Amino acid sequence: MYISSFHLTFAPLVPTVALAVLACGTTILSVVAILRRAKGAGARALALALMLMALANPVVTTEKREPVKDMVLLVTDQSASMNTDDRTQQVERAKASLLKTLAEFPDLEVATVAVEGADKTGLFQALAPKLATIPPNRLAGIIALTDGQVHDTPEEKLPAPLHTLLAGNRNEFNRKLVVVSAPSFAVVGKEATFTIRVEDAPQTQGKTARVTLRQNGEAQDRIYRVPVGKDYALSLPVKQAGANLFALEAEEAPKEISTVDNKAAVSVNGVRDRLRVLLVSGTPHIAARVWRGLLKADPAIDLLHFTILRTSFSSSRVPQNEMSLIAFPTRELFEEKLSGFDLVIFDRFSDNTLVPELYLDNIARYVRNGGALLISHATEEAVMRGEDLPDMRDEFESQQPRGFSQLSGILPIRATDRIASGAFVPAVTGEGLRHPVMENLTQNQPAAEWGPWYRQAEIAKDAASDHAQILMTGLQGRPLLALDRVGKGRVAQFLSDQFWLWSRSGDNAGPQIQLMRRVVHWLVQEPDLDETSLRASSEPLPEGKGWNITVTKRSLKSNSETVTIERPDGKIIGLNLKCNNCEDSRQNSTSTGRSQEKNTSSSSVRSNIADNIAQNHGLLRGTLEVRQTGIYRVKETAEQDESEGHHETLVVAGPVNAPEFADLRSTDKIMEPVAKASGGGVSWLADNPDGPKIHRTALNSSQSGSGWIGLRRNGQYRVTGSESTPLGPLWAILAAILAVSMLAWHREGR
Amino acid sequence: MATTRSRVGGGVLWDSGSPRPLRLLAMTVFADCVRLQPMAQGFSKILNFLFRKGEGIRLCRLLGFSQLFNCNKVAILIALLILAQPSFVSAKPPDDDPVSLTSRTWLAYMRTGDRAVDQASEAGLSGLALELAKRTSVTNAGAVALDPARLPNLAYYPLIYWPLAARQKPLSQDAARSVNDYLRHGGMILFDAGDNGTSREEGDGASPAMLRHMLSGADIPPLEPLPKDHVLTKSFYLLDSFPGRADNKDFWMMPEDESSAQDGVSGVFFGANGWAAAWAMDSDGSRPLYPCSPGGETQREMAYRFGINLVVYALTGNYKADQVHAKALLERMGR
Repeated sequence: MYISSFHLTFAPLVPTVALAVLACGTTILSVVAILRRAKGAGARALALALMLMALANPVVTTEKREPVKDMVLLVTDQSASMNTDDRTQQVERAKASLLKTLAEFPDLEVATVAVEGADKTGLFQALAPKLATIPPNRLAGIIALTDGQVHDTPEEKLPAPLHTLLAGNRNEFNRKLVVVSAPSFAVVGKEATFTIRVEDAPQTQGKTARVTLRQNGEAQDRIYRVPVGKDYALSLPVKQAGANLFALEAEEAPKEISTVDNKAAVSVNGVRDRLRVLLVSGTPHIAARVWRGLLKADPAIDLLHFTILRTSFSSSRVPQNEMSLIAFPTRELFEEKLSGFDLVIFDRFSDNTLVPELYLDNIARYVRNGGALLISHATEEAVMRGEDLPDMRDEFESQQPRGFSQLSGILPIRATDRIASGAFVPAVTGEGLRHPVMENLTQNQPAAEWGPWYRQAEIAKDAASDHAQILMTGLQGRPLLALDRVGKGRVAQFLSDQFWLWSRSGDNAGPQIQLMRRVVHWLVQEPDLDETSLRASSEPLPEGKGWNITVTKRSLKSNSETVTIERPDGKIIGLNLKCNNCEDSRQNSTSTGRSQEKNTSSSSVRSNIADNIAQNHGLLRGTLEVRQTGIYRVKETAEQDESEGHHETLVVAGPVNAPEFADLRSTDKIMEPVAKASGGGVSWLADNPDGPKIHRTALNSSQSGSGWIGLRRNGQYRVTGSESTPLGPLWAILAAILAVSMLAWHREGR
Repeated sequence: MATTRSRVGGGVLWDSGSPRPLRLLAMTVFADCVRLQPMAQGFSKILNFLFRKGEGIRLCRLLGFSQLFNCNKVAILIALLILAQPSFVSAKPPDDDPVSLTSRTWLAYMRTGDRAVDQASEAGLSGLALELAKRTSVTNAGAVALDPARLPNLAYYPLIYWPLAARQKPLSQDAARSVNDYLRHGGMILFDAGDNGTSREEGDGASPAMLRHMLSGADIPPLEPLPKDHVLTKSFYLLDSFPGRADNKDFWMMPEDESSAQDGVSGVFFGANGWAAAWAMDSDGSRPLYPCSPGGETQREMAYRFGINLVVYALTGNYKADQVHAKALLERMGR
């Protein structure tokens, strides 16, 4: 539709000042002439006026105008809280009907904006980019379809009326679980105290609610009865170093609109108290220096070291007070205070260690109850002391050294008291390649450059227990380092004490420090070094599209596996975990296990060592994209190998304690002030499921009322073209001037 | 060879609840008899058989000895009274065979080229090894000679005894590199500028300056006097001086580096007391080879004690410095 408009404008042929001067002069001359009653003065004045007018050049302008459509912005809230009840359906229905109605107005254009929000609803933030592209004088109004839980209401006035149509119902009831306070750190083995509160809104009196607690790594849930509306303190044990996840869930209340906010998760970082390590050196030996260097340099370790400097076999004429010796407090260490140690190391354990057999039983019990024992076998020639005559032993005694029989129940390898000797380079087994203790051991020094060892304890036939993990082999493939889990505790056994060779010279070096440190930390149950573990972590996807849950599993055996993931809403999904590096480790296990020849030339021994202790053998991984915020429970399926245990873990996708879930009830309280300030209004979709009627309104009239909303008519247009034509043709004006002038001369001449 | 010891020191003793006094008795009876092995073996085979199978106990009960064997302490006392010194294997290791070099703890000394000094070193370290075996639980083997012109891998030796003789040349570059590597990885060297059997004139040694000259290629920081309460004074015996053949009080050490991986153990000691000569015994191990002055045999005993302390310090580092801390830790652990 086109509208035309006319304007009369002047386009002077001479500068305006000159025109003004001429006009003044003309006027004065004319006035004087008329006052003198000169003949023809009137005609002459007329002629002059006509000339002036010709100079002023009047022009007629014609404009063509096109009316511009008004814009209406339709905003739909798709944040997480909209999943409550049937709010989304309500909104979808109203939106469809509104779009239909709006399409019927020929002078309205509709723009839609969807507001995503997993942890909060940023409605006005989502609106802003669209608003910036629309001139304020074209905006007829903003229609927002939301539950009213908006977290970024603006201070300044909106450029057009905001009409809020609320999903949900008035006076909804909801229960939620609030974590009032929780520590972020706690000492492993101690309890962490949390305060929680179950809140009903609107408030109820005197009720209690059942709260279920799941703890990462605990199969059993705990149940608490918590009074509603009151703070409630929980003391929970922190069991492992690193993240400890506690997931809490309050039972559903009747008529509650959502149970999403009945859940809360708290992650407590478990920090270790200093580890107490008891190191007992059987005899003074170079290896003890290496142990001390390692353990004393570790800031997390309190070392208690005893060396048997002298035995009852040693003789001395020296008075006691001239000696710097203390009695080995056997009873105190191995009976009274044993359980206080995180780790007991028998460095060069042999017959001569002189831990009475009674106490060896204690040690076995201590390990089974969650302690840790590391044994390194002495590898020197048997000390010739009476009964130790070797050929005699073979006949009368089992090959196991005395003392070992008490511990044989917990030691992974049955060793004899004979020594196997010959040069060998410790080799990592296939199982070792998959074990976190051995991971990246070649990082600083490839295995081909490791220095040789020369002696190790001979092992008995059928030496390895079924569940022993043999990580390294020594001379002719004999086990060299074996780990085992015994009861709740752990045992590591070095069949040789010659690791000291690796740290005593630059030419004969090896990854002794990393190896020993990892073994020590594995023994004290450092979660990062667990060879069988299940972990899950989550990270947000870009643009709030949900989360990526990554599940990693460590296994010494399986190469692929399916775990189940229980979503926050209870639905169970399967996820496949795969291992990228497992295949090659399988091949290596055959080659490294038997790589040693009885060749004392270390170079030929070395050449056989597989030198690819790559990263992450035995690490299975899988990822899952999820949209739901909340606590996911990851479980290993039942089919998998029993010997590796049955793990499960929890993972939180997104911030559970987010503003989005602070209050899930629909409300008009938040949007009302903003809507009122903009001239719009708030109404409930529950009253008008298809949305209110739409009126086009005048700019200054009322914009909303009962059952209708107004979209103001801005009446904007756009100029599409304009044309200018002089008022009269030039020749006509000249003719008129000539005619009037001649009239003037005629009068004069009379 | 000494056969009996009348005094039983402290240290580790069998707990009163310790089992098998009979076996202990049996083995101590024959512990002395390394040189008489065939006989000892036969005898102890019989005894072992008896005791292992429980026959022996029955036999003893029959003979009316049960009272004695129930009283463990008495048994141990008797056992220790007749306890002979442990055997000492003084086999010579093949020159460079790591299998046997790592089979025991070998005490190494540096050859000087001066025959008299080298003989004193050999005899001295053998004598010290003997005393170590008698008095401590260090499982040591004997002396190994090292040639400074051609240093092998030093890693196997916890301690190198390095006498300074006249006309010694500075270390070659290779040797200096070896020494540096050894010290960096926890090795320990005792430099002795004292009189080790040579007829040297007064004042031609015994100075850190001479040491510096010889070790010009090695990376050793300036030495400092040993602090009074250094672990070396208490690593086994309590000592306040370190006499050898002479009794000079000056004793120097390399400053301890707490930050190193060696737990602050010093790697270099220097003195001028002629320790090897004081430790040296004749081939029987019965007669000292060099006189000690001015303290005579008492001084020799102190020299042995110093030698033992040094070896124990080389093997256990600052272990004895821990003891205060250890006591506190045990107390803190409570019950």
